[in-house]
Amino acid sequence: MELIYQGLKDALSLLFSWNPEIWQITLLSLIVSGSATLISMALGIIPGAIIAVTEFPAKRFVISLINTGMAFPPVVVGLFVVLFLWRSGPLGFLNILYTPLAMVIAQVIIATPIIMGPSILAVQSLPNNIKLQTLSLGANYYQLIWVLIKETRLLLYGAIMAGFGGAISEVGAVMMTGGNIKGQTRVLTSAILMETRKGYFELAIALGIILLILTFVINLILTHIQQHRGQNGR
Amino acid sequence: MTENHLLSLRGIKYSRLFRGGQSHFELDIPCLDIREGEILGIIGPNGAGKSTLLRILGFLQKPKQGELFFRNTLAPYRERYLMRRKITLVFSEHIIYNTSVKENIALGLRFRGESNQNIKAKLHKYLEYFGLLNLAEKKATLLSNGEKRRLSLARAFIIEPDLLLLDEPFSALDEPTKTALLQDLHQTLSDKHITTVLVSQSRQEIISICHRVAVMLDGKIRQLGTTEEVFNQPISQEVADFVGMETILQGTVIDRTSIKLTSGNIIQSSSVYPEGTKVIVGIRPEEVLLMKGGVGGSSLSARNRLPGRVRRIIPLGYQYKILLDCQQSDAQSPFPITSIITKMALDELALTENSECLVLFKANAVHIISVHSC
Repeated sequence: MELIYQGLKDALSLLFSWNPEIWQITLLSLIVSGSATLISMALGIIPGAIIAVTEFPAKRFVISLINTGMAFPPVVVGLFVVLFLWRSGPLGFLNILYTPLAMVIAQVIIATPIIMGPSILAVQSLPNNIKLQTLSLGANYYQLIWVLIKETRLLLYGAIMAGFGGAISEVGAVMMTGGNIKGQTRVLTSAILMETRKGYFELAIALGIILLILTFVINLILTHIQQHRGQNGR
Repeated sequence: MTENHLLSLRGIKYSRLFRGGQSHFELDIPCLDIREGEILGIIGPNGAGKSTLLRILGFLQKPKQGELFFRNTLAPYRERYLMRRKITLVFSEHIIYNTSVKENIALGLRFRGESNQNIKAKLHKYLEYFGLLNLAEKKATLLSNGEKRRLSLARAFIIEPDLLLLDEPFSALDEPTKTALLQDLHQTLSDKHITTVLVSQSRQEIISICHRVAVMLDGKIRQLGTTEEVFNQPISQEVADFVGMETILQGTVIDRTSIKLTSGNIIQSSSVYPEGTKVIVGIRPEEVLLMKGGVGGSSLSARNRLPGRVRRIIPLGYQYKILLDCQQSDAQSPFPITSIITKMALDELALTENSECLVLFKANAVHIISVHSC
């Protein structure tokens, strides 16, 4: 108990000491996971709605692939990204391994299916007549997709929260693609892992608290928007 | 095809197998022409294919076979996006987008890329027309059922479509709301001259606003004609069962006690409408009496006594339905009327086709179904 108590106390004093390294790590985490979530939204929501609306052969197969992607082991994602970006790999010439960009790529691969799966489900669960009514009002294909995405936005907020949560709390792929380089690719999760291994629990706890607060605040904001709109809406 | 057809269907077939393949639905419309400017009613029981037909007319459902012509030009299904800009369908259930009333109504115009200025002007006009002006900024999902229906009608009318398809627009509304909306819709349709197809199960709705009626049973159009024709001269027992057996007549109020029918015959009624009001009246067959020979003076309470000729006798089990033509000596043409009598009465009157008899009904039996004030 003493260990936990002392750790918490030191962690709090570290937090309030305005340690520049802590804030640098936090900021990088936010930037990497935030941009990964934004990219995953673009890649997940619109194609998700298109898959939901369009009839094509092997549709069920594609949807089950995406659902598998939602449970894809991040370590394997990390491995594939590293293989592709390795100096002698197919994308090695880009020279981006062990940079924040590589971490963003890994997180996009992890978060996109998490956002896309529920997006498909949300659009599919709209009544069929809303689709027909939209078309009958003269919508073209893209206008239809846009209207349907707007109609499902309450459910999509949930998907975005899950996607961001998956991205920011992920550690394996981030370690492999970023390398946990101090001042360059060190983010909250990789720093916690490293500090815990070294036995510097107070720093690990301080970073853990920040990670918890971050995910909580962002979910709080999105939940607020979702519930607020929901009450005024249907 | 004459040049006045807005949309024509030729050899349309559509079929669908329900889950498990146990029941099968088939739509078969060899020929249907929707005339420019008309209000065509489609009446029929549940599952007759009315809504499927409407979706095919709206280019929302590809028929298995057959062709559609828009203003006599072939309109293949691959041009559906273009056709949907000309034809709009209002569904029977309330489909409301999760935005404001204003944005719901403007949606069709936004799809067409109209300028904000244009949209604003049209919005004002149609919001006012449908009595939604003070609800414009409200969340559309919070409206009452009647307001939602007004919204979906406004959303369709604002597009000013060439063809408006209405799928049971009043089915989910209470009686007073329905009556008020029906009158508004009738007014709007005659003001704007929008060609309309109205699907309904309600005789009242069809009779009061449609020019022609198609009766659909089991995926086929069994009868198509003017409203009067279909309601008074159903071609088969099945059609008659569905449209009801009431005699439906059109006429003009002459004074408080009489109505002059379009055929020139004058019938006695008790109406409160001013002279010159155009009305549609219904007479139930149970209220029409038949009599052989002369009437014994004025001792009868039936104010209407007209000479009639039997056109057809249809057995209905224990009872008989008698279709007659009535004509007063000074009228240009006869009008149809239906009576129901028992087998005993039929035998006693010795009625056969073409035999003559006297047709009697009380002034009170003339029910005014709808009013078109001029």
